[in-house]
Amino acid sequence: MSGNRAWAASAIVLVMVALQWIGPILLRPVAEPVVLGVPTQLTAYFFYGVISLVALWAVFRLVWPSTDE
Amino acid sequence: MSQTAMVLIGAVLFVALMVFLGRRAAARTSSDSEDFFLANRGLKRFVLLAAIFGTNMSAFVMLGVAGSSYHGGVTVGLMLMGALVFTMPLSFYFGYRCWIVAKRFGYITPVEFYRERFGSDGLGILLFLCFVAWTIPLVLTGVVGGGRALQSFTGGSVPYWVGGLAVAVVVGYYTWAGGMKGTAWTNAAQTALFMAFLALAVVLVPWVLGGTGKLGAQLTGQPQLLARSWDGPGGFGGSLSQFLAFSFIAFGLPYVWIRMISARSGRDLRFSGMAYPVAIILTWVPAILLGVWGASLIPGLVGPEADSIIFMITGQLLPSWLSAFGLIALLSIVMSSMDAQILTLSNMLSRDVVARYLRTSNDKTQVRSARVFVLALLAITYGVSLMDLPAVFDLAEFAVTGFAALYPVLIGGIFWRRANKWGAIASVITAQVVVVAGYLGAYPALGGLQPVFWGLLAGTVVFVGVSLATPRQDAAAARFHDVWDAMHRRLSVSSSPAAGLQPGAETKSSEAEAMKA
Repeated sequence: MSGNRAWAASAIVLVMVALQWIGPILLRPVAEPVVLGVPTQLTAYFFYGVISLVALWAVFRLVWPSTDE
Repeated sequence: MSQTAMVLIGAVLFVALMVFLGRRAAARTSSDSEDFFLANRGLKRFVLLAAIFGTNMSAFVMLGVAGSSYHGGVTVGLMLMGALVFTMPLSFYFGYRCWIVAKRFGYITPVEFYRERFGSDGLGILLFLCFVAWTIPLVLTGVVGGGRALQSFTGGSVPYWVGGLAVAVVVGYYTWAGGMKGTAWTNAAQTALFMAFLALAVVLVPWVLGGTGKLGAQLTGQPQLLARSWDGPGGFGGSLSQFLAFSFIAFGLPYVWIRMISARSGRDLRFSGMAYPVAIILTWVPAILLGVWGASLIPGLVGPEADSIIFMITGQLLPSWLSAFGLIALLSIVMSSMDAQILTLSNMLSRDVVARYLRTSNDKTQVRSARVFVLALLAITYGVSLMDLPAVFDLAEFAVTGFAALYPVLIGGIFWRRANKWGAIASVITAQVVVVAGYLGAYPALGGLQPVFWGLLAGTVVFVGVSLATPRQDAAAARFHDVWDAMHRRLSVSSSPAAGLQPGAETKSSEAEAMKA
């Protein structure tokens, strides 16, 4: 595996992991007022899940050969 | 028709489905060890995903997550889900590296995989003991949970000892008869059932009550449930600890590891890795919501009483048939983990102990002894489940930490060529001692950081330090790493501009070269 591929995959992983921690902190002022708390947080998780699909596809594409066997 | 009768009919239909699938799988399973233990390395897309997902989702989701959401609001559930959604599927890439080598050399259990990677019987025995020690409490909670569920749902008509026995017998039958194929097929059905129940419940409860808006309004009196708390378990130390514990747990559990190497192809495994986040969201979000809604609908529950909140809500608000469906869903989620755990224990006993040290390498002998172990282990587990062992649930919850403490060796062994057996043995012993000492309260949780953090830190430092300070194991490492290097060399070449970046160019070829390496 080339260095570029490994670095790119690592960068995506780091960004996604960082988002898990940054997300709740950024959402905190929105989530705290209670009424919109749960919908906001769950919506954030839903979109995080969607982004995860794309990010996983990219990571796997970079480090994981596509195979039929 | 009374609710008890409906519950009993549902349970009988569910058992009949499990037996039917077990029989079908048995008819297609030979006495070849790869066939019995790994379904001939032939699990495909949805069955593979369901087998891995169903195995990894235990009753903790329906009981523990809902119960903790009832008491603590959205904090605990969202904190755990955060760790699971993106990082956990990365375990599938680790699994792929193991899959390609395991297929090349015919490995079946994680113990023999790492024993050969590090060229050490001592490490193999150590890992075997850790895997068994942390898996047994989980199997036990399955029998206890199943027995209690049947007793509770039938209003005591089915006593605890009969319920536990029924669960043990049904799981024992299809695991004994169909091996991996039997457990994978039943897991597919079980996963569909518990996900369908959660989806139905989370849609029908607000529908019956007039919408989510009314439910939300009822909760305004308990604002602490709706905001993410940054104190206690939701604080930085607690969140980081849970993140570490759950991030790669799919790879750290031997019974999930074995399912990963049962994949038909790398592509099937990759599909499972990508579908995993969606399945997690579809399962965890309903459990969290129902737990939080339950706090306003049925207030005043104390401690573990709230663990049954999902079934209390559905029992009070929804038709009887859905209550019966709830029992089936709970049995499904319990059995889907328990069967994999029992099959893996018998698999490791048969191959890593009997075949390895009694030199009975015959395929038929291995399968026969594994089948005996399935029945013997379930009989022992059922016997123990009849005793009063309150600590077993605490121990089962802590088992995740015990498995996670093995990450440095399990992950380092497949990525770091310089890693050697001395580092691995020292790491396993150190990490296990640190987490068990933490469980026993031998040191304080500084900054809210739980034993899993300290165990992982100590295990990683010792693994790296001791490996670097002791002689290399080039031959043992080369056997594995040459396969992975060949795979990645081929990947780089086939996707370079000169190779035209054709999707088909890397198809088959990289894996084929790795297999030949």
